[in-house]
Amino acid sequence: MANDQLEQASAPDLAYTFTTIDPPDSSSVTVTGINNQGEVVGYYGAAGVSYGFVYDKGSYLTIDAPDASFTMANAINDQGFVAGVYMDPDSIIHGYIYKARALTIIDFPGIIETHPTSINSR
Amino acid sequence: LRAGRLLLNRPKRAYAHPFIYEHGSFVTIDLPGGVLAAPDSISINNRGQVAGSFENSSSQSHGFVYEHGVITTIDVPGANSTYVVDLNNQGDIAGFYLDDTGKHGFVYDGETFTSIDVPWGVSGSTAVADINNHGQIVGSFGSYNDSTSYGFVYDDGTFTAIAVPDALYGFADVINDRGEIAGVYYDADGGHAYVASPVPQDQTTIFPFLKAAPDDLLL
Repeated sequence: MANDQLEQASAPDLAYTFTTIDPPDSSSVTVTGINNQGEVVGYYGAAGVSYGFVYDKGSYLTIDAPDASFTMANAINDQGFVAGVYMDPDSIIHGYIYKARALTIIDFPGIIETHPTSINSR
Repeated sequence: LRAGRLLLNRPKRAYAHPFIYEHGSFVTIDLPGGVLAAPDSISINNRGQVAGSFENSSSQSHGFVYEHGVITTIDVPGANSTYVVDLNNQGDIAGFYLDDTGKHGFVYDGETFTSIDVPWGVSGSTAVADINNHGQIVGSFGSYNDSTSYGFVYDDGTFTAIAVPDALYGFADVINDRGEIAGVYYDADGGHAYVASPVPQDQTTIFPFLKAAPDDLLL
């Protein structure tokens, strides 16, 4: 493809500034969501353990469910509620909702795994 | 409202069900095919519509939208499989489909399917990941020159590449209503996440894709 074709295909008035997100001590990172306040969520690996995170304008918040072998943040809504999953010491996967350092477990009764994947802003 | 999936019996994907959770109560969704496809791509919008994908007995994937107890199947015409990855508050559905030529993105507004193929990408390599409430779509495509992947944003027929400076390759995973894009990229030090904020071009000193190394992504 020729350069002029590329420029025709690209928006002429749109450009971006890039900010790297490296959670502390992370060896790998995955992004799962961004809300309309610009808060970014995902999960990262550090020393063999996975943690959820919220990145907000240069600050990192780690989500680490109690006694969990891994924690993942899957989505964030415009009110800052985070939905995700964690695995307990018995290898049971639980869903959770997290806001303001408070974690609420979301478990369908009698089910071995509950995976919240999305949260709306209503 | 929260949406997700339940796994009733871990070894058997056939028992996974989408669910909606609100105020302590669950509603489960029984899919016609029974088997979730792309189970981490179940989305819910502010209208309470839930979208995702399921497989039939032939392992072909179909998209679906659930609203008020009714499931509508989403199949891109001519596709072998259709995967829905997200829907916005207008009910516009974004995803990708597979046909005999590879992978292609699409958006469906309830009446019309529009294919999304990055014009400078490898044919059949466009994967859509997210849509915002303005209809802007992000995803990733394969590069001819270096056989790697880069992100893109699609806005009403116009494509813009999302290439983090000095990255070996990367992906655009999510976009909000301000047009901010987040994803991951890889460089010599490994993997990183990023957020890309749109600015008017005259305020930008570098647009790496168009100005710094355009030949990297060209035929």
